[in-house]
Amino acid sequence: MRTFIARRLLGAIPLVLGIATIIFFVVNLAPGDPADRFSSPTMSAEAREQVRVNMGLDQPIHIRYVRWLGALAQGDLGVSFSRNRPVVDIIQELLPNTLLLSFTAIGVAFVMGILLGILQAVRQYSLLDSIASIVGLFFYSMPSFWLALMMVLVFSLFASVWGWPISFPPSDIQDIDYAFFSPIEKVQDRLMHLALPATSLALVLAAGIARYTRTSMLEEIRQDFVRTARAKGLSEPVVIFKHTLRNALIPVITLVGLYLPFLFSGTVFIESVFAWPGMGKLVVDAILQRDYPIIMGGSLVFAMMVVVGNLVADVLYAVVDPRIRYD
Amino acid sequence: MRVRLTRLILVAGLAVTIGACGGDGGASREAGPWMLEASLAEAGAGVQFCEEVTANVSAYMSQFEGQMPPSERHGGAVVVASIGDIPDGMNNHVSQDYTASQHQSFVNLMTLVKYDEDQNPEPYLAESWEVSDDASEITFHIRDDVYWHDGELTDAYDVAYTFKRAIDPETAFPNAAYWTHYEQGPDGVEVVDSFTVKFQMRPHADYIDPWRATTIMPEHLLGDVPSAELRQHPYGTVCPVGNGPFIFVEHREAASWTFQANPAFPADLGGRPYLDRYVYRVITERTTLLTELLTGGVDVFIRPFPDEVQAILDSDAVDLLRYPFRGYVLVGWNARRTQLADKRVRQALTRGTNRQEIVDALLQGYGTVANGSVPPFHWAYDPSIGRDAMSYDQDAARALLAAAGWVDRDGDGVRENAAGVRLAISIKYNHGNDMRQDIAEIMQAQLSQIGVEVTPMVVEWGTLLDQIGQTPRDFDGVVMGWIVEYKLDDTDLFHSDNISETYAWSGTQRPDIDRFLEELPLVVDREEAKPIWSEYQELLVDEQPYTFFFFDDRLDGINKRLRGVEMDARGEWLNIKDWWIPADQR
Amino acid sequence: MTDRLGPGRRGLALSAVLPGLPQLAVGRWGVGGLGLTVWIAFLAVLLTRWARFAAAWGGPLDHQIASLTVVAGLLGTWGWSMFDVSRPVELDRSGVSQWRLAVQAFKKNRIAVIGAMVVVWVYLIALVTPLIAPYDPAMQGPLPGRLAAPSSEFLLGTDHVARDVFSRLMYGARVSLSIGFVAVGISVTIGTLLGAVAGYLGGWIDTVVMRFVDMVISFPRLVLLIAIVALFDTQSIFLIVAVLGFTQWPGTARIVRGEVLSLREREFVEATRALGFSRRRIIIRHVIPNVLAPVIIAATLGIGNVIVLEAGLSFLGLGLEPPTPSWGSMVADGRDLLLNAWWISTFPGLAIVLTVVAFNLVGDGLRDALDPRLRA
Repeated sequence: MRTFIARRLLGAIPLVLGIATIIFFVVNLAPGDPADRFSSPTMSAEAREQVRVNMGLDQPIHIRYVRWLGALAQGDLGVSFSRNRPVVDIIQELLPNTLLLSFTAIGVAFVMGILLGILQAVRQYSLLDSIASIVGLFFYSMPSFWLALMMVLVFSLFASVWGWPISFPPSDIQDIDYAFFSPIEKVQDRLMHLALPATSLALVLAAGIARYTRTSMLEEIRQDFVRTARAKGLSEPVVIFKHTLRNALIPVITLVGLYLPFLFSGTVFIESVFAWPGMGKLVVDAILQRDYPIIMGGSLVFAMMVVVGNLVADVLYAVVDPRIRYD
Repeated sequence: MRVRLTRLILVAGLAVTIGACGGDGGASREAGPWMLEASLAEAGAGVQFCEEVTANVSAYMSQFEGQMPPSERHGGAVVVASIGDIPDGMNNHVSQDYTASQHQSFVNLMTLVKYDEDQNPEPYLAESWEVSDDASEITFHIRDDVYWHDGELTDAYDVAYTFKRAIDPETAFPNAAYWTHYEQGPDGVEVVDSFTVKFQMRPHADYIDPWRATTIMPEHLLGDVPSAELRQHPYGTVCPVGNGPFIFVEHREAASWTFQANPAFPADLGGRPYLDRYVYRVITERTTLLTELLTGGVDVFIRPFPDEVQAILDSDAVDLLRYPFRGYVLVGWNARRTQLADKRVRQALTRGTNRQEIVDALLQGYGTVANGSVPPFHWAYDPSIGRDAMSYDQDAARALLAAAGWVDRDGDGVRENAAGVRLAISIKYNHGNDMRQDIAEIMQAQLSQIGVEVTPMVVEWGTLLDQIGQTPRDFDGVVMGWIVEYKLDDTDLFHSDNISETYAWSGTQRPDIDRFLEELPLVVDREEAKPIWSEYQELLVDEQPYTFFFFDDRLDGINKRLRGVEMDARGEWLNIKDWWIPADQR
Repeated sequence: MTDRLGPGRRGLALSAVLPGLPQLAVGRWGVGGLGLTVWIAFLAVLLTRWARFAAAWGGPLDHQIASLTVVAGLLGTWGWSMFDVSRPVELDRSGVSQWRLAVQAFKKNRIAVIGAMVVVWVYLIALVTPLIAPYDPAMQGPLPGRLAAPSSEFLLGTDHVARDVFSRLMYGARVSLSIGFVAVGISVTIGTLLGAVAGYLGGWIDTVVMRFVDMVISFPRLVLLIAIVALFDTQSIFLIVAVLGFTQWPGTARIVRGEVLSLREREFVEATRALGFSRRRIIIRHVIPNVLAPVIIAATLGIGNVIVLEAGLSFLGLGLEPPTPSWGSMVADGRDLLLNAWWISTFPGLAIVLTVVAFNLVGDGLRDALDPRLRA
């Protein structure tokens, strides 16, 4: 197992290198002066010259490329123009929020999706199956920001104004009094703030997961071993959950890896709408402000998150499926 | 198998090598492309600065714990939110942003003077001041009971330091134009004693306005920082230290700024603010922001759009505050372009646009049509200027275009001049501003009726500023907003000396306008100045460097539980230290 | 019940007046319903918009296309129905090709058929828009009429500069659908070619291509998209379509490569090799046609994906320039007005959801139809 992980880690390095390369070339080949990418619009002329010298813009592109990689390897992602702080510091502050949102969303999505998929498989072609498919498809086809806006309006504004029993806060990760809360209140507060954004993200994913689970379960249910289990007289829930599900879940786990880039992209919209201070919002704001150090650093971090996520998914897959060899 | 492993190891080795080569471990700092300010980019320096500062502030403030002044108004926390963040934080040396300057002036720091409702200066950090008879010298006497939040006394050295920074070209102080009539040589400022400072200046009508707009900065914290490094110094956004009514507590990146009441604030100036805490939140999605206001998550929504106001008016929990402001929206014309060089064309573009209808529709009535750069509430305002000369009249517009030589020669609906150049222009506006987008699109539709082809183009804010502010001035028309200072001065905009500077979007070069711009600031008496202002405004109407659109009223949505809020053209946070919340609604 | 009406005067007569009805009557509601509704609708368009129809022939290209579509639709539906009714009933099912089987399986899948009908309808509406749109989508009405609620005058209300939302919705369909179509066209072409080449040739080509594919797939696509559009700083439709297309091909490439790998060892490919065909010929003429099934599925699902992505780009301000209507930009334009002018954002939003659902239904249906393991 360890060799397996080590191999995959080693294999991820060229991947990350490649992504860093893509970013470098996109920025340098785009029209406009690359020095503009690194010098803030409000800098004096001398400071801009200094930037050109520092960047070695007189150097051929392969030298610049190597220096870029060198700076990256040292963990230096530059200083943000708009926020005037080292990019690493900013990312350090915001990354945990995105991870919290993403993991919660994935968790919710998988639980919802798998349960729904099982239900659909067990009752294939019934009315429930059709309705669930349609509803799932509905959410799957919706632009996530539209869903997010609807959720804000319905579960925050209307819920509050029309006096529903529960209404959720529409923005940020915590209440302004968070620092004064007891630990239990803190957890509660976080959950309340997580509710809408995580659900918005999760709904879109859950639909896809449900479909995949349904297909996978359908395949497994036809297998002989299931027939044997039933013949042995085992109750239906045991048959489904104890025997069929395990096998059916194996391909579903690969979905984690597949959905990861999608998940992180999704945080871009969700974080914007819900004012969730995370990486997605950071990169979007940076792109709109042409804050290139953040754009590049943020994109790189995103990509690395995906790579790590894929690695984790592969390991999970290997753990769960005994048929997979460790090479 | 073996081949694959070898390959992997080679790659890993390469990566390690690059990493090793790329960094010199600090020996020579000319390495990476990012290292602009070496001393700060080193993680150590910034962190250390802030640790020390924060420790000092805590130590100083701990002595006031438990000293709650007896008044039922004291207490509670208020949340103000808007779609914009506070870039550059509390660092007045480098900040250009309006919200930032409001927080600096009224929340965390102090200016020497403030304005009252009639734009007359009243003492704040400066207890009093004297001006010599010939208006060449001004002496400020500073309060001796104002302390920085880390315990140091605010004194004249801080004032002198702030001034020197502002005039230092390396600081790139955004509003250097403030100080043009202040003597900037080595004798310009003299610290007479700990609380007295003297400035030399050239006579001017609004000599005190710069001190209304510039906050005094702590010399003991920032004095040693090289000017070029000020912008990225952690003081601004990580650990600001002020001397104003509120102490900085926390800045959550991209989310919120938290301040708490300063118990040591001088009693003469109102003492400790009523509010315990003030939180500024950043919410970029307008619908979410409106929802927060309507559900009570946020107490003040800064600048909702007129279209969003209906929900606020309908709500029982929230009030709408409305007041005239000193900002106007304009479409700036680049007169350097062939199509726009002739002033008759620019006049035609203005007359071909139904500005009153736009104000009525887009602003829902919360604004006035503008024909010049003087706000309606200003003493120099003359409502008759341009009202008839620039009224909406498409026939007149067509006549002007024809007289300027622009006729539709090929029947495609768009006019050309004799050389065959088409009267096709782009109007740029910044992303994220619905109103400016609407203006551009409406002009496109209306001007097509007089034979002008307009293409609206959305450009990101920073890029747009670059395009209009620097050669080669890549734009035809631009929808922009401009906030005028009380010291009305269009020199930066229209004087031919400044024609290559940032704000000379239009490229105006008229000796008669220049003369007015030079003479106006020298007339101290407002009665005398008013007719001169009117004459100047008429010239501006004739030249039409801009199509002035409107002065929009400021709108703010405020939760009813918040009392004592006064907002006017001086700003939204004007009297935040006097806001209070009844005890049962905290 | 027989599959077709036998030739008979009643059947023919019915078909001549109301094509599609005879098919409906025997339970072939998919093609029958489509034919009948197209016939009735286009006839209605022809009659109510005669003036525009007649003028269209001398007008701009898209007007001509619209009129042509109406004519083609009417003639086609009528002709097909007559032909269909007059054909003898087929009983012989032997020798049915893989495609035929798939089509039949598809037809049994109700919601997939509905999805297909919606897709066809949306495209037809898009084509015919110039004839039926009540207003010019770029025309701003008198400003006091802005933000007007849906009424008989403006079916879906007006937007923030007094333009008719309904007309913009229809014109927006054209833009959104075209973007989807072209972007997916690009991505499918590149993806298929590269995937086939990589899969068939193997070796270092395969490794290089697949490594590249891994890289692009790992990269959060949206971030790459917005980075490129923002860096290139233009909102031309060409750039957006190109970028959308060029970021989607890796998925197709992977699928195709997988299929090709399994195909490579089949006898017919060996046969072509034995016959001495060039590799290029083998790949293009023999391998690719056999991997088309997953490609078509990917393409169908891809169009929906692109439409949603374009909406996302518009949401971030990186979409098309005004006044070009696209569903995405309409949703983005209206999002600050959700509380007081909900129609501006909601109708395009619904349109997106509806269309993408339809595409997904078709894609799923195709997948089910082409995968023998899943049939009930």
